[in-house]
Amino acid sequence: MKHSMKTLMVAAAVSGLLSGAATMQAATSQTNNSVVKVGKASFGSASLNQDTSKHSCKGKNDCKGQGGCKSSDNGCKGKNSCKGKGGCATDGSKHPS
Amino acid sequence: MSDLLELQRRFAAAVMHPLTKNETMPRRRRDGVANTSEAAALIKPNDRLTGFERLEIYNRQYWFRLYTSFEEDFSGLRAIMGSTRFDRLMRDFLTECPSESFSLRNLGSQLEKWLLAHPAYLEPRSQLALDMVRLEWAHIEAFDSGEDPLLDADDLASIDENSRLHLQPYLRVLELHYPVEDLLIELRNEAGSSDSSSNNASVARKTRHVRRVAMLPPEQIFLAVHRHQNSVYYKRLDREDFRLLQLLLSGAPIGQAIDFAFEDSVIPEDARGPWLQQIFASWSTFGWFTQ
Repeated sequence: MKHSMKTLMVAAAVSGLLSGAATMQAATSQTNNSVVKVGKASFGSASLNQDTSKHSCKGKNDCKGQGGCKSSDNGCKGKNSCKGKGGCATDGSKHPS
Repeated sequence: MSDLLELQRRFAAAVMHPLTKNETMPRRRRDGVANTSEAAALIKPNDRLTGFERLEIYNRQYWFRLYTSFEEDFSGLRAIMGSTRFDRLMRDFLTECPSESFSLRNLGSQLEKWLLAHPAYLEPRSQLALDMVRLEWAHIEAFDSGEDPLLDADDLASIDENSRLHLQPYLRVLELHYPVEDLLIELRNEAGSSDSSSNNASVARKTRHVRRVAMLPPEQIFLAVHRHQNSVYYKRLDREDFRLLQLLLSGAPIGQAIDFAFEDSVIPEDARGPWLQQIFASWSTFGWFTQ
């Protein structure tokens, strides 16, 4: 691409950047996102409307980074036969020995 | 080494050692260490369980937690492969690439690389499955990668063709062969649907979704995976968009990225300026450009 042509192309890009920044500013101040065509939401409405309880990370990893999900310590729940046998306490309590 | 540190390391080695095929703790580890004697040294028996049985609870709990996390992260891959083949892949992968991070978020970080070295796991729908792995990992990265401050007026004023534009750390671009983003959304809707009358019916519907996409002829699909207002979005891109973003993400100057975007492009020369203006405006609106 010729230098003069490239300069024009970069100018067009910068002009777009400026107008986009202004649009975003306006959208933020009006709390109106209709101007933003961000793509398809990764979770459909059914998923979004389902159980919203605190630890309902199953099937939607939106809880990542919010605590209480994958770093939680209750992963043994229902998964093995530790219930009532000791060895599964997660609250720092001591086991009967 | 302190006694406590040594105890922690021995306990971790026991807990993180892979289970047997029957999902029990092995009597002897791959390095020859006997878990029976190790358990006796680490954990006292109680009136109901031996030391080995008590240690085994932690060992099994650790691996079941990894499995649950991995299944959540790659539910689309599971739907494509079926549960039996997915389980085998998961166990072999996690044995060869165990968790090395404090966060389970990183559990699947090596999966694509591992699958490329072990392609037999993905057959017969190899390309579809690989596309899904790439999308599901990009989703994880888009969801919780950092967010940098946006360009300000001074930054914008100093841009020329040699400038390197920085993009948000959460932005990922993918070149795919199947519309796996549509498939993943369908599968998630199915999983969350309130009219999932029975598990069998739901699995059958998921299988139908997968089969329909698998029968499509492969095509070139470009996709941006990004975050907006704390939600992850999948945005289809044109070839030129993809090439431009690909080069900008690699750190190339904007002038070079524009040249690359228009190589063999069908966009007429006189339409390229307005096209650039429009897409940069869109991306700027999404907040993709950063300082």
